[in-house]
Amino acid sequence: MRYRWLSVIVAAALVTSALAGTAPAAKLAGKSVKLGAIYSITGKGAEWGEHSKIATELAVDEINKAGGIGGVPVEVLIQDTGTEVAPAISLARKLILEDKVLAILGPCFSSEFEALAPLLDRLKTIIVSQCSAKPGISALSQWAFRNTLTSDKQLAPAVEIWQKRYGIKSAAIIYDSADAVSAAEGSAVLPALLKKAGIEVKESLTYQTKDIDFSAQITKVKSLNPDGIALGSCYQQAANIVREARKQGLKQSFLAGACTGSPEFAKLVGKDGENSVIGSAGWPDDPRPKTVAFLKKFMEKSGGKKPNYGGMRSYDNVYIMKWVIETGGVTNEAKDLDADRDHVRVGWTKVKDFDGITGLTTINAERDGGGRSTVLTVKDGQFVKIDY
Amino acid sequence: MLIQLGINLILALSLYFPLSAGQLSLGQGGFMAIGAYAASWLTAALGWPWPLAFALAALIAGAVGALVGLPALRVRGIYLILMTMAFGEIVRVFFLNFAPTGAAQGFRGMPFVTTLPLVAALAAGTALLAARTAGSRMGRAFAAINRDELAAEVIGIDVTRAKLASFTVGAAVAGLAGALWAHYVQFIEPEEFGFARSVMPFTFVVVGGIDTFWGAVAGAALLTLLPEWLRFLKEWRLALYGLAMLAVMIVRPQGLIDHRLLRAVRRWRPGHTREAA
Amino acid sequence: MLVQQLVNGVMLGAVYALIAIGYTLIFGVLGMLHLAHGEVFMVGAFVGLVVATKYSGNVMLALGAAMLATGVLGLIIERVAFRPLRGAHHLAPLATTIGAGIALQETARWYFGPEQQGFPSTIALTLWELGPLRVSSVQVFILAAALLLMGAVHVFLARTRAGRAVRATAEDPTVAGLLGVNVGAVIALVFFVASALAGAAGVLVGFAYNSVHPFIGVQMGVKGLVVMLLGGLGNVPGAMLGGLVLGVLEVLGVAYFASSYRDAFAFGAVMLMLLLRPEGLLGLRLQRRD
Repeated sequence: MRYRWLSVIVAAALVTSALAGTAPAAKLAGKSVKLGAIYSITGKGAEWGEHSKIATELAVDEINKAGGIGGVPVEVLIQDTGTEVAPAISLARKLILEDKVLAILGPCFSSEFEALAPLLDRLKTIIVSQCSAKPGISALSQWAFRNTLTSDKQLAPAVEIWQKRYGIKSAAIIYDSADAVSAAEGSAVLPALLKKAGIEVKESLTYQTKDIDFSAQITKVKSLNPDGIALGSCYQQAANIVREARKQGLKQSFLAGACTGSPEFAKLVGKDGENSVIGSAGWPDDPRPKTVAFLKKFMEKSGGKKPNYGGMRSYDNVYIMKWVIETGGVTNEAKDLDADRDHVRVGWTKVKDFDGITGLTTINAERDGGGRSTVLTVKDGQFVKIDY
Repeated sequence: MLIQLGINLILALSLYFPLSAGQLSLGQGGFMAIGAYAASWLTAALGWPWPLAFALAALIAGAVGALVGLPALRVRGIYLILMTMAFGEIVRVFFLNFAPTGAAQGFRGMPFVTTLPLVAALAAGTALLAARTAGSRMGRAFAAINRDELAAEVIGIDVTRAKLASFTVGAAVAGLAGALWAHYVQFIEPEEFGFARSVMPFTFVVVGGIDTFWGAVAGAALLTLLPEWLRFLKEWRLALYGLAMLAVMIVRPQGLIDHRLLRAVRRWRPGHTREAA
Repeated sequence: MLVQQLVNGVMLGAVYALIAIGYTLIFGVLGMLHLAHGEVFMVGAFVGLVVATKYSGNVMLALGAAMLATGVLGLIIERVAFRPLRGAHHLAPLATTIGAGIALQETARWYFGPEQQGFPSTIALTLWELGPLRVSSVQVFILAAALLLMGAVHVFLARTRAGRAVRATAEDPTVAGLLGVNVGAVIALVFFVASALAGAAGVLVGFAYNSVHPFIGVQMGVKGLVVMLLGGLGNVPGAMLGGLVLGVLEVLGVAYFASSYRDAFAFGAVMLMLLLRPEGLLGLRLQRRD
């Protein structure tokens, strides 16, 4: 009799612990779980970093109010890279070697990520980017992770929708040759996708991140009169290119990818951008209850600004980090730091269908985020999702 | 932090050399870029051992310095400032378009070489070179040209040679700083070496004082450490950094350290050492 | 297409010219570089942005407010970063103005945020076709405003008493002082005018290119220096011409070569100019009018 009771209890315990996340995890050692974050809070990527910072702080607050990670509070040391590569590297080094963080969140920009990734084999700590989208660069190290879609995946369905909606047969490409992801889009991703769709590329033009005058490029595009214009561009310049085109009387539709996926773009272009199609990795106005709750809290902290997908994914990343640490065998003892860092790395390769505010997140074999692309268009200065 | 301080110190000294002969360069970022790219190319693409790569990179930067120095002899004052600025920017645009070193995407693959002892040794070496130069025949020639070029020529100083030498040494030292920097961050891109980078050593030297190389050292130390000290001010940090720079110059237009202060320090030794005002 | 590209170049050039005139005026009377001039431009753009957004896109009001604000800012900079250093080493003001520039950038970043902001599209956009050419109302407004301001500066220098005092001071401050010119007042006046022009340029750039952010002054400041040099230091008509030349060069460079060579044209021109013709395109100085 006694044994039967015992076996029921054991079975119940097994079932409970099998439901990941519901079982109380082993209590961690130490005063806090220490994570680092390198975000581009100033410089050209300021908005991406700022949103990531706000979202990270939100998640940390929530987690700590609910008892922390494995019973100890989580602490994220957020550092500003200035959207420059050199500080990104030296800050990551400092966080890993001096602050002894368990893992690093960020960086957002592909230039920063691509430069940092090859150094990780020696530093043996993972980085998890929330928005870097240049294809292929997670392959640089097994410690390099990205919870976002690469821009080829973001743009693939967008190209089809663009072609169908606006009857695009020919296009011109304008891209930022000084920005890593934009240059990859303009010189490789877009030409390949357009070719596959049977769209003729009439001309490919470049600009530099710091340029403010796009009149020469637009005048040139105008003389070729393509059906549409595809951009490899961050949102600031993308908005200016769209407005310059309208100023010169061009009515064509625009297609854009990763670095344009900020609600700021919709605000800046307004009516001028209503016939544009953007391949992205998150939509702040998603009606899922989790996302709605997050949006409300985010906007309270951001002064009414809606988050870009980098912000949204940063929020998810903190929660995924919590899950990985609680279930991956991390002890948080100072002496186990190396082993713990490796547990976190292994944990991230096992992330599957994590239910977050950007939908279900799976980390694929390339250590990039899987899932479906979010295709957006602009209406009344807001992003609106196009269903497909 | 200390590594950055060391590199900035070398960069500041790189400007001190031409400045001691009355030649201000606002193009040190360009020489730094040349040194950084040359050294990185040698270690990353050709697999050279770093000491050789660093030495050759400094030589290349120095050679380019001599080439730029030649036409720069014809101009002075504000024209020289603008010309060196234009040179620095042209170097940046060159690397922006130079595909073998990654163009706008930057260049990586160099080993991690720049450790604190190495930086400290090279910074000390550069400072020693500056100190030795100041007391040497060449250094006195520089000083004479700085005071009055015509008079220097009259008393038999080969002004052309001296100016060219000062410019070349400065460029080589800036190239060395670039090589160190590149093998510290292990990634370089053209935008890092723009106008802002050229302005940096300039502010170090002017705030520190242009009289002696101690000024360059003091300026680099103060302006590198100040933003760290001001970290508690959070977002106001850099604004205050700018204002502090302004304030220092108003109080001491000649810079923190000048001959008078040095003499005073010497006289007061060994009793007290006076802090820079 | 070439003609249209020339129009694009002239538009850009007009803005460069406005910034460079300020530089050259200040250099003319002081013989010193003002490295925070780009930040004055930036402040002008932000003031214009705030006023235009608040008063439903009143362009003239934005322009006026920005010019007044930057004019006053210019006076403050002169008082703080130049006057205490008179008689010091000629490099000292370079450092003070760099310091002031950093402080202005950071203050703007703190107040307005680091993001790029755009002007409301207010001037109702009309397009006129002139043969193969298409000109928009925004372009016409910007060009008209820039030309008007340049004309005003020219008349001010050539025809007014104050303008004569400025020219006399540029020629020789000591002699001008002896002849009864209040040199201190002239310098202040020059800073006011030069800074107001930069502020106006900021508003025009905001309207033309929708790019206003705290660090825009760095790049514009450097371009302004280049234009000043092309025109000849201290030479106002030269700065106007230099601005147009640089604007057209850049636009044609982007249109027919590649955008990554854009700055090569500007700085290549500077190197050539210094080696071949250091006195500038026109080879005249401020005081020898026209």
